[in-house]
Amino acid sequence: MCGKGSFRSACIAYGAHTSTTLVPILTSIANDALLTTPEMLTLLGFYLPYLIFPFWLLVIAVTSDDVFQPKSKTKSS
Amino acid sequence: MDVGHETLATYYHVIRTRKHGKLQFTNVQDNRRLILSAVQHCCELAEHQLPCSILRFIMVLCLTGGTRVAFLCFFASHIPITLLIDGQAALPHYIYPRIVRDLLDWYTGTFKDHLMSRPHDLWFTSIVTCELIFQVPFFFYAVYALSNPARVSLALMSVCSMVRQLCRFILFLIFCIDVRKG
Repeated sequence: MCGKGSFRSACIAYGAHTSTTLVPILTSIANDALLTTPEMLTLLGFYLPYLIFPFWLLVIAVTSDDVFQPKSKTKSS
Repeated sequence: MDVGHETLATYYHVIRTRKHGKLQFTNVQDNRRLILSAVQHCCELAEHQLPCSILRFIMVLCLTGGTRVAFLCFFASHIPITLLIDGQAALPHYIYPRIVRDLLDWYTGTFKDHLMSRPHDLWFTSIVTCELIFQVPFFFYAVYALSNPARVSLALMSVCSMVRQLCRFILFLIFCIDVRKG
């Protein structure tokens, strides 16, 4: 019950918002002419978790009815 | 599971030896039945084994166990990073203590992060403003929800009931004022 409703909706909103805002940030880093490749990869490494985690959370929230319950359990109950 | 594998191996062995003609087989139907039973056994095995592999995948796709701890660490670390480091791109620099400003200067100098170095791009400032307004409240909510998932509904219910009580009280006050005026 707790993983449904408002928390799940907030997870979807947060995941979609953050993963899309990371797109211009990562693009501007990737196209920075002043950076060498190792420097660019380090910076991408700093920013990538902020793309991966929100997107992961988005996938979790979209695919499950209850974010705290495995899908098979929520279906059976 | 091992017993299942052994049985499968014997099925395979029997079918193979029969194909090579080492064993005398009575008729074709017998062989076919053997293959069918082997396939059926495979299906039964799959039914037993698949949930384990799928369950591991499902555990990644819901906020339990290691995934929950990972997200908890992510959000808990995100709060100070957003408020202290990212916030400097949107909020005036004089509200931050010197040590935090020096930390940002060291970061931008070492890693050559032009997005975080002054003067900040306007689009980046707007994104950070969104982060401060919309995401920071969610971080606190997420940390609370992930640290005690069972209590979220209770907390929400109590907040809802408080709001309801407050509305009733305000309506009651309006009613009292109306009665006095009337």
